[in-house]
Amino acid sequence: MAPRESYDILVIGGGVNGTGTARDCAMRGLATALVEKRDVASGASGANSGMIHGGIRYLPADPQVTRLSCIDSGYIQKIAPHLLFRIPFIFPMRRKGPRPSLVEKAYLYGAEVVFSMYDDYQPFKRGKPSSRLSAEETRALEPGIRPDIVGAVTTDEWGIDPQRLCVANALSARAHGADVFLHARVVGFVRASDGRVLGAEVEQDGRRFVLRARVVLNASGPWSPRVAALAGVTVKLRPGKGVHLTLDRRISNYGVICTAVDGRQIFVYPHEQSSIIGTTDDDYYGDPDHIPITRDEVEYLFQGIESIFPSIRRARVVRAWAGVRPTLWKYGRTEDALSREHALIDHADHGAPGLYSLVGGKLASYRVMAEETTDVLSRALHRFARCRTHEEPLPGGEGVPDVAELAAEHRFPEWTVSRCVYRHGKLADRILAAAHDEPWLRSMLCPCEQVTYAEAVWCLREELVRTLSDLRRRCRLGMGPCQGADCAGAAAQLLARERRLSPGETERELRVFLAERWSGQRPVLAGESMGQQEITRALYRETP
Amino acid sequence: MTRVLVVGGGVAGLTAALAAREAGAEVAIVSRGPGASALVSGAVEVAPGGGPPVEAARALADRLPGHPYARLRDRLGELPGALSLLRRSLSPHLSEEGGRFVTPLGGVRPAALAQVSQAAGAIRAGERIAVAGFRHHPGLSASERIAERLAGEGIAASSVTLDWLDRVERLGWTIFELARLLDDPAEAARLGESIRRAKPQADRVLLPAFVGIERPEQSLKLVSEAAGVACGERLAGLPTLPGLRLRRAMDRALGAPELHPVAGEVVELRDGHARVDRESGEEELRFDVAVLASGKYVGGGIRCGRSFVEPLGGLPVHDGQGELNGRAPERLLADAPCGPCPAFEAGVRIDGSSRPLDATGAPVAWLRAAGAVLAGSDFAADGAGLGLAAFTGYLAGRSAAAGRG
Ligand SMILES: Cc1cc2nc3c(=O)[nH]c(=O)nc-3n(C[C@H](O)[C@H](O)[C@H](O)COP(=O)(O)OP(=O)(O)OC[C@H]3O[C@@H](n4cnc5c(N)ncnc54)[C@H](O)[C@@H]3O)c2cc1C
Ligand SMILES: Cc1cc2nc3c(=O)[nH]c(=O)nc-3n(C[C@H](O)[C@H](O)[C@H](O)COP(=O)(O)OP(=O)(O)OC[C@H]3O[C@@H](n4cnc5c(N)ncnc54)[C@H](O)[C@@H]3O)c2cc1C
Repeated sequence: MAPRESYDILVIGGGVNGTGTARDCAMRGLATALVEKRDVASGASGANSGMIHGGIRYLPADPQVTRLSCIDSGYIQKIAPHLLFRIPFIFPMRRKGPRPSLVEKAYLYGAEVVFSMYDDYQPFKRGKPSSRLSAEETRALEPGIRPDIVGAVTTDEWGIDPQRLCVANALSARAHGADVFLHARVVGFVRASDGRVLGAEVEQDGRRFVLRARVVLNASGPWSPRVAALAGVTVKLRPGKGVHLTLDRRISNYGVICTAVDGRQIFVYPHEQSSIIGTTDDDYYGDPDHIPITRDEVEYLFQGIESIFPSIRRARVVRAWAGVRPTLWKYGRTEDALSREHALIDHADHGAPGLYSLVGGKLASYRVMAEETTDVLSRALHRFARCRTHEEPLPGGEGVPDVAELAAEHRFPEWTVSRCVYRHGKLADRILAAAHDEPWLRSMLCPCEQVTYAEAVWCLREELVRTLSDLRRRCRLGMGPCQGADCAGAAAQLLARERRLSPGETERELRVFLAERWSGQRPVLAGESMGQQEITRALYRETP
Repeated sequence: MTRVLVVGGGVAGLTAALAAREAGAEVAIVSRGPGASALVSGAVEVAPGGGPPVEAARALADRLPGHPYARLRDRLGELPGALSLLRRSLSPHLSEEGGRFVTPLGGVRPAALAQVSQAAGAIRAGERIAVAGFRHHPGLSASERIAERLAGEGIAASSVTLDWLDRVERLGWTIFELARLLDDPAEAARLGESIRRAKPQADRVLLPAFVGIERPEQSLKLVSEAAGVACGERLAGLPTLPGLRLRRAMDRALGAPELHPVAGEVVELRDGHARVDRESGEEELRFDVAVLASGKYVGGGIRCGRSFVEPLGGLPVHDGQGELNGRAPERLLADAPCGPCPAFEAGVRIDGSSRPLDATGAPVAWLRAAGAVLAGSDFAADGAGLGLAAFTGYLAGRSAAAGRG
C-alpha cells in the first residue's frame, strides 16, 4: 500500500488501544494511519484473560475504574454482540474444620458484601446480580469443587475473543478510510528543527518509508517506553507479566475463583472451546518480544486452582502463554493493587510536541480510552466531530444471525456455523454462502476450532492476513488440542495458494507457525501432550 | 517350548511375535489398541538416505552412537530378513522394493518398502510425473505446490486437475469416504477416465493415497487401465489412509490363532507373570520371556510426567546419551519443535541380545525390548521408523524364543 502524502493522525501499535483509537479517529473524519510491527493483537491485547469484566478487583481501591469499565462493557455488547459470551463465576470459600467457623462465615459474608456492591454496576453491562450458594448448591453446579467449603458467592462477567475485537476495530478503521500497515515497524521519528514530531520512519519488508502526520500517537503498550525513547522522551511503566494456561477442553461450566498460595485470586474459566487458567502478575522489565515462561509459574497456577478444584491435576494443558500488562508506574503498591487506569501523555512538555503516548488501561475500557484520546487529539487538530464508536456496530456486529437457519440455508453443520457466527457475526452469512458456488470451501480446515475453508479464505482475502499466525489470530486456527498438527500443513498450502508463495516461502511460513506453537507448548509439555507432540514431529519433520 | 509374551501390537510387536513363532516358541501377543504404527504415511523407513537398507542403517549407527542400530550393529545383516518377514506376513500389503516417494508437502523421501499402491508412485529416473489434484477438494488440491516443489528439486513434475469429484453430490468428503468409494471397480474406472480426459503430459500420474481400502493394488490397476497412463499414490499426511490399511493388514496377520492375540492392557509385568486387563475381566498370563514392544509416547510404552517412566518393567529411561531418570523433562526439550530432542529419544537401553538393562546396567534375563520404546530412537529426527520396529522386533522375537539368559 502506498502511503498518503500526509495524515492527520499516525497511530503506532495495533493492540486494542491502537486499533480502537484508529477507528475512532477515522470515524471522525481524520486522515488516519495505523502501523503495527507484527500483527494486530500480537501484544498484550492478544495475551490477556479475554474478559470484558467490570473490574471488581479494582472496586475497593478504585471504583472509578470499575464504573468506567462496566459502562463500556455495555457499549461493547452493543457494537459487537456476537463476540461476547457470559461467564458466570463462582467464588467458593474453604473451611478448615468439619463445620464452618464463625470467622469463615464472616469471610463469606464479606465477599457477599463486595459482590453486592458490584451488583450496583452490573446493569450497565447486562450482568446478573450476585447470589449466595450453600456448599451443596455450589457442588451441584460444579462437582469439581472440593466438598470442604463454607459456601460460595457468584458473580457474572463477559468473555470475548480479544484478537477478534482488535481485528474488528482495525477493519472498521480501514472501512472508514484509514490506512493500516501491518508487519511495519516504527524505527524512528521525523523531527522539525524545534523538536516537533512530523511523522515516523517505518520499516516494512526490508524497505523504509516515512509516514507524515500532524499528530503521532504512541499506543505500543508494553513497548511504549522503547518507542518513546526513539523520540528521546520517557514513558515509565511498571510492566506486569501474566501467564495463562489453555486446557484441551472446557472442564467446568462456570468460572471458579481460587486463591493462590500468596493470597492472590486466580481463575479457571470456560472460554470459547477450552478452559483457561490465569493468571500470574510479576514485574517484568525484559524484552516484551520474547517473554519466557517457567515451570514454576505453571506450578503456581496449578497449586492455586488445585486448592479449590483438585481434579485440575488430571487436566491436559495444551499451552502456556504470556503477556505484559502495560501498567502505569506508581510507587509503593503491590502488583495487583496497581491501578489499570490509563494516561494520555502529551510529550510537548518533554520537547517532542506532536507526540502523545497512550498507556495503561484495560481491554474492557479500550473504547472509552480511545474516545478520550481522540477527543484530545482532535482538539489539537482543531477538529470537533462527535464520537460514534459506542453507537455504530463493529463489522459483523449489526446483528447475530440465527445459527440453525444459516446452517439449513448453507448446508453446514450447526456447530460449525455457530463458531463462524461467533467470530464474524452477521458476516457469517456471506462467508458461508460462498460455498454454494465453490463447494471445496465446505471442507474443514481446522477441526478443533471448526474453521472451514470458507472462513479461512474469507480471512485471507478480507482481513489483512499475511502469515499463518495472522490467520490463527483471525479464526483460532491451530489453537485447539492438537495445536496445529492437523491443520498447519493444509493451511500453509492454502496460504501459499492465496498469496502465491514459492515452495521455500511456504515452508518458511509453516516452520515459523510451528515454532510459535511450540514456544507455548514447551513450558507445559508432559503427559498426553507428549504423544501429540510425537505425532506433530513425525508429520512435520521436513520443516525442522 | 519357550512361552513368549509380546506386549504391544504395533509393527515391533507383530514382528517379534512372528519371529518368535517362526523360531518355534509358543506365542501370545497383547495389545490394547493401535499405536504409532497406525499413523504412518505408508512408507517403511529404515534410515534416511537412499541405497541398500543395511548400509543406510549402518550409516545412521555411525552418526548416532546411542541409536539402537549402533547397539545392534553386529546384527544389521539380519535387517533384510526382518523386512522380508514383515512383508510376507502382511502380504499383499507391501511392495517388494523401495524407492523414493513424494510426501504431502512435496518433499521426496527414500524408503525400503512401501504399500503396493504407493510403490507404483515411486519416482523413477527420467520419467515425467503429473501430480493430480481435484477442484472440489481442498485437501487434495495442493497439487500445484507439490509439483512446484518437486520441480525445484530437479524432478520433471507438473500438476493436473481432475474432474472426478465434480459430479459427486455430497461435499466435504473425508479421505476415508473417498477411498471407500474407490473400492468399487466402476468408481475406480471413473477416476481413471477423468485422468484420461485431463490429458496429463506425463509418464506417471501421482494420486493422493486414497485409491481404495480393501484392495488398493487392484483398484489402482483399474484406474491406470482406464487412464491409459501408469498411476501411483503419494505418501499420506493425517488423517492417513495408509495407516488404516496397515492396521487392517496387521489385524489380519495378528488374527492368526497360532499367535494367540489378546485384546487388552498389560497392567502388571513381573518375571513369569503378566496381569492383563480385558473386557471380560482380569487375566493372568504366564510366560518364560516377555517382549516389551509398547512404543513410545503414542503407544504408551514411555510416559513423561514430572519425570520419565517406563511403566511396565519399571526400567530406567535413557536417551541416546545417558540416563533421564531424575532429570527435569523441560530441560530435555529442544528450541525447535521438530529437530533432534532428547525427550523424544527417551526409552529403554538394550544389550546386543535385545535384553533391556536395569538400573545397575545388567541385562534383564526374562525381558526383550523392541521398536519405538528403545532409547536413542526418535523417528522424527533420525528417520528410522517402521524399519527399525521390524528389525528390532525380529531380533527380540528370535532372542526370546531362544529362552531366558
Ligand atoms: C496477562 C494479562 C491479563 C489481562 N487481562 C485483562 C482482562 O481480562 N481484561 C481486561 O480488560 N484487560 C486485561 N489486560 C490488560 C489489557 O490486555 C491491556 O491493557 C491492553 O491489551 C493493552 O493494549 P495496548 O493496545 O495498549 O497494547 P498492546 O496490545 O501490547 O499493543 C501494542 C502494539 O504495539 C506494537 N508495537 C510495539 N512496538 C512497535 C513499533 N516500534 N512499531 C509498530 N508497532 C509496535 C506491538 O507489536 C503491539 O501489537 C490483561 C493484560 C495481560 C498482559
Ligand atoms: C504420525 C506418525 C507418522 C509416521 N510415519 C511413518 C512412516 O511413514 N514410515 C515409517 O517408517 N515410520 C513412521 N512413523 C514411525 C513409526 O510409526 C514408529 O516408529 C513405529 O510404528 C513404532 O512401532 P512400535 O511397534 O514400536 O510402536 P507402536 O506402533 O506405537 O505400538 C505400540 C503398541 O503397544 C501397545 N501397548 C503399549 N502399552 C501396552 C500395554 N501396557 N498393554 C497392551 N498394549 C500396550 C499399544 O497399544 C500399541 O499397539 C510415524 C510415526 C508417527 C507418530
